[in-house]
Amino acid sequence: MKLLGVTACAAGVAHTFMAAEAIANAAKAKGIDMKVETQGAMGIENRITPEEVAAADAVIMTNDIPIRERERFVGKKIFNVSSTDCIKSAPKIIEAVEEHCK
Amino acid sequence: MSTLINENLIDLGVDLKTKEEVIDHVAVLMNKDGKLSDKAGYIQAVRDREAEISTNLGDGIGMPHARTNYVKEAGLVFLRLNNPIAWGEEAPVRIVFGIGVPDSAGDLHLKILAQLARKLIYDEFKQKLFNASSKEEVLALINEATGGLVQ
Repeated sequence: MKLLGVTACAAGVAHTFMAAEAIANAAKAKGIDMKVETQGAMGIENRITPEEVAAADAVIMTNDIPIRERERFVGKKIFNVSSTDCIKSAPKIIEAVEEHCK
Repeated sequence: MSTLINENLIDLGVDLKTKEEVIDHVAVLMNKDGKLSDKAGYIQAVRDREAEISTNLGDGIGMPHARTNYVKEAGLVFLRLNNPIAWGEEAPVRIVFGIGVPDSAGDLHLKILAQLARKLIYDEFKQKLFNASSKEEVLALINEATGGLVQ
């Protein structure tokens, strides 16, 4: 299974990166291939490519603030979560997504 | 070399009772260190941010922050409270990272904060912060966590 993630938050200073680390780490712990793009105060980092979108089973996105260039993911399974949920319950989110993609 | 955090911005063993007192104390330390252009404005910005979504990360750590031009130069305050305090619905907070970043913050400061934020999801790092016995140790931990960008 291949997952993608996109995280962003109001200030773009802390939660964006904690959420990205937490969700990527939870995926890694389950042996799932996941790339997470951050949209913080430094702009888009670790940008997801069209090829990666094409190959992905699902995309997990934070919903604190609108995700930029969201149209890149049209047609994909998208799971919206808050950055705080990502930080606090990343393993549960990964499990739920995994279950849904079976 | 970064001026983001230094010993003046670290306070281990503070007696504070509420979230509001914590935010005020963060602002006082930053202001003394010349980080703010408008202390009251910064306090309000942090309170507004806090009202949107609580920055209590659970696990005893709170991270009140604001990105506003009431901040002159990016600053990071580290507080360890003598007694954990209530902070929203999550577990009480004992460690506080207070952050102030100007709208025009340089990438180096943002990068340091981003790296620190990433480290904060790991229990081992958090435990070290809870146990640090001196300001030097806190600085060393933050420096290590951010790949040597702080000192």
